Amino acid sequence: MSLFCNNSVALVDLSNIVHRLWHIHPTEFELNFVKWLASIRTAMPGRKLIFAIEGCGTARRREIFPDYKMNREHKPEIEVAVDQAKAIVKHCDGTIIKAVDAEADDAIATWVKTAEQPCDIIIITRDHDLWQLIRPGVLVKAFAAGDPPFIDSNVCERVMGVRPRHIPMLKALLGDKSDNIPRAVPKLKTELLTRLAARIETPMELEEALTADEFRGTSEAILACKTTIERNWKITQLFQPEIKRKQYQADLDFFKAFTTADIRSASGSKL
Amino acid sequence: MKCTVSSKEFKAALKSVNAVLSYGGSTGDNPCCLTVTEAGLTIETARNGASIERTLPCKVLREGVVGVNAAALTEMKLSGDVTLDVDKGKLIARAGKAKHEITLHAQAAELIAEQRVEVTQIESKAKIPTSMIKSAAKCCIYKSDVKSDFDCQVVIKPGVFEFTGLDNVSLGCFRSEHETIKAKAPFAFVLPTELFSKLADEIDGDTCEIHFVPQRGVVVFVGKGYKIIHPVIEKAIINVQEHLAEITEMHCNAKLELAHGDIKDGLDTVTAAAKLRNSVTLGIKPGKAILAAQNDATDSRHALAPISVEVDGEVKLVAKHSYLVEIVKVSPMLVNLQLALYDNKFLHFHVMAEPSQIDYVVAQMS
Repeated sequence: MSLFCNNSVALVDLSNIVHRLWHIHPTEFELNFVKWLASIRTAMPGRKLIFAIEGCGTARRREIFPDYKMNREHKPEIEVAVDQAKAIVKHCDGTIIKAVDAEADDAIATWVKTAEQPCDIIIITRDHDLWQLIRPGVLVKAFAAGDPPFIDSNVCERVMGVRPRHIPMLKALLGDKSDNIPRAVPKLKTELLTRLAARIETPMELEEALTADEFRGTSEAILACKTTIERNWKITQLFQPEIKRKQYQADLDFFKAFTTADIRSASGSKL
Repeated sequence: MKCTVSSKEFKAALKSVNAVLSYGGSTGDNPCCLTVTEAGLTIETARNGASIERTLPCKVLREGVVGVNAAALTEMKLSGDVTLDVDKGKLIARAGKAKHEITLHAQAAELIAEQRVEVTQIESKAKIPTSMIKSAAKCCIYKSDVKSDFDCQVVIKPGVFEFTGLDNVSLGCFRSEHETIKAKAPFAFVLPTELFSKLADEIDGDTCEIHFVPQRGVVVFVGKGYKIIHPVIEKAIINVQEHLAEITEMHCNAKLELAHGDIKDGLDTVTAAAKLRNSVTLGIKPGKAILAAQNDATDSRHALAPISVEVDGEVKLVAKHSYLVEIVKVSPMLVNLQLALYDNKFLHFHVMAEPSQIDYVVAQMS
């Protein structure tokens, strides 16, 4: 039972968490995942758990950029781990959400943008793309070593150099190796491009921003890459697809297979 | 630079420096600057927008500034008065027969400047008696495993200081109304508990000035000999008094007054049995109250000795054992606890500690 906001949720980017946990210890994935779930339950009492899973998602972005996420090695073991994780979360008192024709990030974006107000949402992910959803009432739980425990817009600015709404523009300029998105302006320094991203939210504002003194001498090089910037920006935008949701009830008997000692050591979870 | 300082005060300041440096997890590089001026020895560090400047009284032998690694300073075993001196690129600390040499950290000042938030536009200001802030932090910050989703909400109005430690299923609210609380206009912010619980001890002297700078996401605590810049979290401010009023207007199933020691003993008795499920049952009958916990192997009960009981027949409440233990641990010991169960859902503890009052609420476990 929640004491305050009925709209108090923890939104878990399930595939992202599964990837990280699987890479920590592939052979003990199932147990580590249960430990991780227990640690989230303990750390966030009273929050509803929403797990976002992948739909058939990359098609829309591959139409814009065929090489999108083409750098990722197909590992059947991870698919097995994802299926194991889905089976486990069905025994929790949580909801699974999925955007049929989109990625888990997009399903999360739909949930956040359509949440009733006031909301108190914590997104659990290691993916910086989702930082663009940060706003009052929406935080990201951080996992990177050295980051504060929760990311709000001020922390986002300190860590990334831009406010959350400028994240798509930042990624459009700098690219994202993990998603195989190339850097749009290869020859310019990251600091300069970050300062540019901090001024604009869309490529349409580019020309005006480049009239500032600090971009004198570099504006031509940047404008020459405008097509790539626009393409990258379209890819990094989270859209709001329709989502399917399925709610599950807690089945504590399922978790009895995992001993109390296993669950109790959850606080040592590396995530 | 060269000075002599009390090792006790020096170590206490280093504890806060390390708290700031561990904000967000240690990165291994722990820059810290030591500055000796007429004002004393100032220890300074910053990380992830949090920073501390602590000035300690010292005997000034030579003014100057050095950068060092705070972890190396902390590891030194020191007692009595410590003389800090710089010689041949090293900081030399002497205390009695002990002597430690620490390599200087050339980039310390630069790294601190990068991590520190520059505060220019102060939006709101207040002056609060230090004792009030310390009592609030002591009574309303639980230190159990619940804290990662547990925040401290501070609401300041002219003549009113309200400090609430809260998560989704419990709260501890310290509220004081007094003329010594000075603020021109109301303001409120939410602090991440983990860091504030470690830095609250540094707030010293009679009064503390609080400067809120929402544009930079920080609040500044300033007093004699210290300046703490503390990050805030962008969370919605909850009207705790309204919530408390909503709860206390619900149907009251039971009311009882208990001595602090009585409920503490009761919770101690059932600890072993409550550990597995972290749940405890409070059963209340006319004239009686029993705390109980069960697991497959143990069934423990403790008959409480209430000073007064008012109950509708018989009621039972299942609550998290760890919450009750934490609340009883932080609540003032010399004052009786007024317990009430509302709508069979909310357990409310009320403590009067003039000029302040403290309310705790725990929601029924689902």
